[in-house]
Amino acid sequence: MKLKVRDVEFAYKNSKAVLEDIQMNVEANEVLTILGPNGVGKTTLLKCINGLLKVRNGTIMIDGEALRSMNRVEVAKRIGYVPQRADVSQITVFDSVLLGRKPHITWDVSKKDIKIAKDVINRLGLNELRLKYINEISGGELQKVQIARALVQEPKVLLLDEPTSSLDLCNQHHIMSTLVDVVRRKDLTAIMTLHDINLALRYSDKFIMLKEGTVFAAGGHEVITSENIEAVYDLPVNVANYMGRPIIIPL
Amino acid sequence: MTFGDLSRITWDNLILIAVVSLPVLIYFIYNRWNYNAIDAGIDTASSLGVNVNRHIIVGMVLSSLIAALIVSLMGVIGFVGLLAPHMVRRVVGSDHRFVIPASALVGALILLVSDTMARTIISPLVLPVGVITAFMGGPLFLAILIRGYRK
Repeated sequence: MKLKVRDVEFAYKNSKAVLEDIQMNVEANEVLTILGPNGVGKTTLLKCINGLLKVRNGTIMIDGEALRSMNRVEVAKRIGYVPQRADVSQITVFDSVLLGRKPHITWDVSKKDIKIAKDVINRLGLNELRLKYINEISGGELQKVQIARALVQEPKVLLLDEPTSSLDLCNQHHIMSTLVDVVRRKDLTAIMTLHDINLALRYSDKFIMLKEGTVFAAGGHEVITSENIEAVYDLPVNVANYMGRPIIIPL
Repeated sequence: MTFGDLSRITWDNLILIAVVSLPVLIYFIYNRWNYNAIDAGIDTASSLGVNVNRHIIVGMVLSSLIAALIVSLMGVIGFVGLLAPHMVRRVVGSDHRFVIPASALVGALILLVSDTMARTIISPLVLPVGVITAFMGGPLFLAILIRGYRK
């Protein structure tokens, strides 16, 4: 699945543009990370890509089909989205994950839907929690539930907004490697926002750095230079090389 | 204000109520997954393909419709619609697959029990059934109000 973002511009009603001139190209089997400081528009960009926010200008194409020409359910079958925050209610982890099948459900869930949910729950290590209510689990566990829900949706494109923000070190790597593994195995496209640049360097193939609402730099690992990071985050850093991988060290 | 009374109803009215409220009940049950999705947050629900605004508006219009129909035929019997879902949620959680049918059943049961009480408690006098439901629902309403303030 190929995702193309061309000349995207977004603004809230009657105010100046939040995002301008956004170009992005992601192929199947690729993980792209959007980097940039707080409030630069990373979440807004993700919401534009899955149509939660309507762009003012520009096009978003999924495999040559314009997002604009699809209805909500068609979009939901192609794009899964994990927001930063979710509301909780008194519903079990299993049912909450199963909810990811929503775009595929007509009257009720099928045996196949339940099997897919069980597989994902096992893979993300949520099996022991599956009968707990989601308003009684921890923030990190809830984040895993949301990621599981997006995987159960079986989309072609995964949008993840800070998927590791509430996770401990072990779970950060477990979730990221599981995600990358799913992307490779199923030929998906993943776009995420991350604040931890080192985590991004380890797991993603491509980067987009946003500054003042537009793309400052885009490309592979080579764009993560101390000059670029200082320009975008306004913080002097060293980029060290550790066992062949760049590592960011703030000065 | 006059209290509602179950003895006002005629068979013709009952048929009318059934013809309107059964399809509405089926509509709500059909949409149970959509309501679960909305519970998970507006962004999550929209990304799962749910038209959140449409469901909220249609849901409100349909529930107003059946409430208006029944009140116009039987009069005001308050608090049943407040009591039943709250009691149900305590027991079955907030999964709408169970909440919607269970609320309908528990609501019917509350009304039946209240009506029986209203007819027998100081018989031969018959109390309006609304007195009994208000007696149960009033304290719950206050409890919800106070809990809302604490939040």
